[in-house]
Amino acid sequence: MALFAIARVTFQEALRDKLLHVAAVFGALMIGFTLLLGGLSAGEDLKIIQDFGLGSINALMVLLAVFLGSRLLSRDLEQRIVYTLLSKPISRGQFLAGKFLGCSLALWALLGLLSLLFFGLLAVVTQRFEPIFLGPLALFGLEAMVMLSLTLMFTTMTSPMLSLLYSLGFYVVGHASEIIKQFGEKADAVGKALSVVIYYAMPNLETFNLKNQVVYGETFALGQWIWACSYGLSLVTVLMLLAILAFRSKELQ
Amino acid sequence: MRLLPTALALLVAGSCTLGSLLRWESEAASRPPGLLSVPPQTALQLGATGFRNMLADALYLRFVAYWGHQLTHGRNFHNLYPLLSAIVELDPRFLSAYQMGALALGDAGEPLKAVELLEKGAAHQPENWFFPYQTGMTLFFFHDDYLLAAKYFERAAELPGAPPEAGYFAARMYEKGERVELSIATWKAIYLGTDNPSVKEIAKRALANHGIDVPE
Repeated sequence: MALFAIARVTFQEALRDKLLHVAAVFGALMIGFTLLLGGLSAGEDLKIIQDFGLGSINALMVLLAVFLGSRLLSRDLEQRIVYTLLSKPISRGQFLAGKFLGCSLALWALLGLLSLLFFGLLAVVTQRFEPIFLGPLALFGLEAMVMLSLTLMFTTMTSPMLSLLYSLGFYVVGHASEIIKQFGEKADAVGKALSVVIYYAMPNLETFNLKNQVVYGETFALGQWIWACSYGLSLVTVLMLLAILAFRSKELQ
Repeated sequence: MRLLPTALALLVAGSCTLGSLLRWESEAASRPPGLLSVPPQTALQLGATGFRNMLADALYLRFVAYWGHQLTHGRNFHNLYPLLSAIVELDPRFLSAYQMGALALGDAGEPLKAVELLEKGAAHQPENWFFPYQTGMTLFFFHDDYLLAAKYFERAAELPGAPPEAGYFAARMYEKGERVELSIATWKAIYLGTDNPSVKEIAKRALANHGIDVPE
């Protein structure tokens, strides 16, 4: 099928992308660096290793999703690959979905690699395997997919640079919407109304954030994790549908 | 269609963060060199975006480095409380930040700020004996307020999982605060409230020191 062929090529391209290589090396260095930070913490080394390890993986995944997403379409448009492809019996929807799928696979591959390093480091420090971290790590992958689909949607509407900025802004607000609402409660009527609009208009990206609780040894309910997965997949579906709609109506010159 | 709320949200978040950072920057510029500067809460809360624990850890490392440096270079402590408060606001379960923070504040001559810090933790985890216990310790070591320390130890002793020492310390604090009758009452409560033979023995000996015999 055309979709999977595009996905495969996109995945191979992404694996050759220097950005992914830099992210992998940087991620590995960050995970290793947590050992040093832990040693400076006056008795909180394990917490610091876990917080910084998970935080680094999460941040890298999101940044990479946004950066790869913002270039995914523009590169094909600049190199005119898209015209060649779309002249064949491939719909724009298939093209975009294939691109998304291939890039997502590359992100999951990177997540797998960084997770292995993280688990390896934890095993060295604690002498045991901690499967509880698999849950939050999987949600990092899902959040990266949400960010990728969001960036792709913006890319179909605006320039790569603006889509990158919008996506990062969306990410910040998506995680801080609860705090913005709290600030709004102390503000005047306009500020309050604005904060409520932001709170309800933005998706709650904190749903994908289980890392802060597992570090304290708290388990999470399977239902909570399944809910986060369903929420993430729904967001991806809606954002990709919007992206495909926008790409269909985009005039390619 | 989604650009407008995103752009608005970005504008609000950016303005708040930038405003707070600019204020912090201008305040930092007016401070004498070598003082610990703490970013404003607003900027920290907005800037943390899903990385609250990591940011709290980074600030905690900053605190450990600053405290360690000051202990060996003149003991010139400043802004410890705002920094520690920022850490526990970001990560309210960070027990080391409370413990080390209370110790640092007490040592810096600010035991009541240490109590304030620990009260934040107690408000977040009211069932955790650690907070009243640590408050009792702080009041005993750094504030010489034995009766208040005794009250905190007593509160700690009532909470699940508290070590038996919490009760002993409460009784000892009452004794040091010259409220012998309360000390005796606390030892009696410890004696009657436990099935642990070694705890019973300690309470029995303490009561015997006060000239009170308890039945076997």
